[in-house]
Amino acid sequence: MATLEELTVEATAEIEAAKPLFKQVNNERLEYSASDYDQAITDLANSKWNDQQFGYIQARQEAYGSIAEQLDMMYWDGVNGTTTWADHIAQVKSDNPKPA
Amino acid sequence: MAGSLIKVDEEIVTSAVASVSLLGIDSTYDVYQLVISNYQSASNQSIAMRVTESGTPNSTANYDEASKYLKSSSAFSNFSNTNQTSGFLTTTVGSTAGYNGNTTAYLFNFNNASEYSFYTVEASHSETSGGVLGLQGGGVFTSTSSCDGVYIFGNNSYNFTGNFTLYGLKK
Repeated sequence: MATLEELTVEATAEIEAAKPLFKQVNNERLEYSASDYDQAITDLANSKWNDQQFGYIQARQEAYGSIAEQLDMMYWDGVNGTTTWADHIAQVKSDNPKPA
Repeated sequence: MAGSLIKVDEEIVTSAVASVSLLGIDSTYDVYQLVISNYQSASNQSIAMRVTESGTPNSTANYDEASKYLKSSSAFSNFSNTNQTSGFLTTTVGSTAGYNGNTTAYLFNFNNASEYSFYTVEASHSETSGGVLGLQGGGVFTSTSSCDGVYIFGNNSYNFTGNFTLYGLKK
């Protein structure tokens, strides 16, 4: 897992490669100033950090079956003695691991 | 009522840029409306915003937000965050041609120096997986400052095009 410092180095390289970047204000297209570039690097590094640290939360929310589907799994697990629901939860967690 | 939506600023971006500022918020109107249409980015990214003070974006960690993502290709999900350096106006918009981002946000108390600046967000766009996504939510800039506009950028700093308009709601 990368540190924020390592991700900042990565972001700096990506912004350098993307230069020149422009901003539009009052219908004028102007190249970024040095402080704009610094902010873009900070923003990109923070975005990478958030994805790395917290992206699994969103991914898990979207991968879990609906409450109705999960209740159905639990019912049939009770009837048939299977572990469909627990397997489903375990699979989602393993596909979208929490950072160490 | 006819003539109730007054255009304050408009930026039509045809040559891609990495940020857009819409300025002109003052005490003339209590509520402003931000409309983004036909947003298209060179790479997958979310549209984010910051308030501006004297035209300069405020990037302090004072943005709180909460949203519901309404997805056609997977389960709905919730998103919330506090003390961020910006607020989201969409989740990730796909970069494939036709995956345009569209958002409407209402801005409250932006010019009022004794109140926090609140905003609602309502977005519709296509996401990276190709599914249609709706987003409903809102946020707040938790600083009692007088804001004069909004600064719009991609959270991954990539270039984008689109139409960006700021309206005042006539009192």
